[in-house]
Formats: sequence, structure tokens, C-alpha cells
Amino acid sequence: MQLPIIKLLDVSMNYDNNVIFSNINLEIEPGEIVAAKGTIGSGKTTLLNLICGIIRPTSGRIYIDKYDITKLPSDKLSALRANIFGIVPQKTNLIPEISIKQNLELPLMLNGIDKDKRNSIVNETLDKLGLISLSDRLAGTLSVGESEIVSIARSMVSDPPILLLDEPTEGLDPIISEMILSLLRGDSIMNQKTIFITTHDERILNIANRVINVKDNMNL
Amino acid sequence: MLFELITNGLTMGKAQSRLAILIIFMTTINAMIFSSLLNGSGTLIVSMITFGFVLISEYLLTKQTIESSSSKLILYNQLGAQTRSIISIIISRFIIVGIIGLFSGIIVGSSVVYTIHHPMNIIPTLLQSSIVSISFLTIIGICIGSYAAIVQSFKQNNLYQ
Repeated sequence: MQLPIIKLLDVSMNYDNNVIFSNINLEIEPGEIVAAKGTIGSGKTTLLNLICGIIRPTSGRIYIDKYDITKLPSDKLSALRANIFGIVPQKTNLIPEISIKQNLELPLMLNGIDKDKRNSIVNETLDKLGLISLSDRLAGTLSVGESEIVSIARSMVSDPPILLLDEPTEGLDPIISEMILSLLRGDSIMNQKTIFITTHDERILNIANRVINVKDNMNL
Repeated sequence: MLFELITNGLTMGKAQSRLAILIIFMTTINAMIFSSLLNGSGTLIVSMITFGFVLISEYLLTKQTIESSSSKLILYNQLGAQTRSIISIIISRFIIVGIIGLFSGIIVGSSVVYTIHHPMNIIPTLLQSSIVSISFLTIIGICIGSYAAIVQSFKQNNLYQ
């Protein structure tokens, strides 16, 4: 059995005296697709933000690979986030004033990759995802579905071992949702990616190796 | 990397830059004229008012800039940009813009002071002392005002770790 790449140990989270989580435990192995479902406000996004260290837990430990991210100083945590995670937020936040290609370059830029290499990686990714014809379009001119696909492409461009997606098919039409699903399935199988998705979408729940209910069954 | 982040639209837009330049420009001219007309405690009060005005205006402008680009800041945070790099970029941009406003203000303010006091022989002393104190207080005001706004806004957006 492989060691978990994500491990939450007795994690509790409070916001302004409201208990969001209390002593939750979760282990995710490399290459696993885990879907988190739950009602609105159950804490799915909070769980995702805890895993990538955007917010820190009130108590407990979170291990990513061999690092205890609850103890990492913010500069090391940022560097870890840049190298290990590809994040797709619920609200796609592409920079609208720049092109899709430039948006995809951002994670590589933050990883200190030089311009020429960035260009070739971005072109390769766009080509692989069939987005090359859109490369020079401004991100602000894309439809919601296109933005979601580009946002997923951006999370994959630096080839991170873990992808975190927050409701990636929310409000999208079935064709775009199907494209996103095959993208995720392909990336997980081909590249052994660990994928954590928060969702209500039954189709995503079906492709997941494991489904967790954020409110009821957090000790897995 | 930092330069590329600035050119990719992280910090203030053109309208905010122009407003920041105009504020510092006008403040510098006013401070130079009043300093040349007053002496002793009057000059001190003008310096304090200038400092307070720069501090408050830069604080408000930085807050407004951050609020209007909060989605970009959250994105950079998700992509792994370090908080202190983002803070440095924003403050550097405000200082650069502030220096442009300050120099323009000093040039125009000096001309006005020279015109007002033309027959007098105290102009060099007047200008020298007011330029040094106004420049110093303006730069300090920009740094403190921007920094306070950045820290407060980042805490509100959960970006300050």
C-alpha cells in the first residue's frame, strides 16, 4: 500500500465561533480520484482550501507528501503550493485583460521557468486539449464553459501531482461537462494525478474512486 | 519574475495611477506654497497636514486598488506567489507613481514660489528646506499608508499568512 499523498489528522476548523469541522481524518493515496459531496455550506470549499494551505486549521495536522503544511512558514508553503497543487476555484479567475496563452503562463512564471520553455509547454498543453485556436484570444471574451476548460488547463500546465477542483461542472452544459470529465479521467490515468473534487454532479461522483460526504463521514 | 507579474496586470490600472500622481502633485505644490508663506510653527503644521493627507489618501487609494483587483490577488495566492512579493510589487508601484507626482509637484511648486517671492533673496533657503521635508514626509506617507492598507486588505481577504 502506498503512503498517502494527502493526510488530515484530527483537523478542526472554526470560523467566528462556528464549528465547520471537528477532528476530521482523511487520507488520499497518489493517483486516487476523491470526490467530496455535501450540502451548500457544509464546508467542501473550506476542506479544499485547508488541503492546499490557503487557510490554516484551528487545530490538527495536514500532511502533503512528507510536509506538515500546518507548520510550514508562509514562504515555504507558497513554494509548495506552486509546485504540488493545480487549483481550479469555483469561480474561474482567469485574468480577463490578457490572452489565454498568457493566463496559462502564470503558474510556470511563478515556478521560475524561462520564457522559451514556458512557450513550448503552454503550446503543448493547448494543443493537447484542443485549445490552440483560442490561444491568442483575451480571457475576458470566453464563454463560461470555455473559461472553465482554460482554468483546468492552467491547473495542469505545470504538471502538478495534485489537482484540486471546486465544483468544476457547476452550471455548465452537458457537452462541456463531459469534456471536463474526460479531461480529468485522462489526466488521472495517464499521469497518475491525485484529484480531489468538490461536487454535486453525479457524473463526477461516478468517475471517482471514492466519494466522501463532507458532513457525515469524514473519518476515512 | 516580479516585473512580469506587474506587466501582467497585478497592480493598479492607468486610472488609479493617474489619480495617485495627481494627488501627490497637488499636495506637493500646496505644501511648497504654504511653507514659503509661513514660518516657524506654521511650517511645521503645513508639514504635518501634508503628511496626514498623503498618508490617508495613499491608504484609501491602495485599499481601493486591492479591492478592485482582489480576484487577481487570490489567484496569485492560489498559484503560489509569496505574500511578501505581492506586497513589494504593490508598494513599489505606489512609490514609483508617488515619485513621479512628487517631482512634477516640486518643479511646478518651485516655479510658483519663485514667482511669489521673486524680489526676495530667501528663495534658495525656502525651497531647499521645504523640498527636503515635503519629499521625506511624502515618501514616508506613501510607504506607511500603502503598507497599512495592504495588511488590512490582505487580512480581510485571508491572504496574509
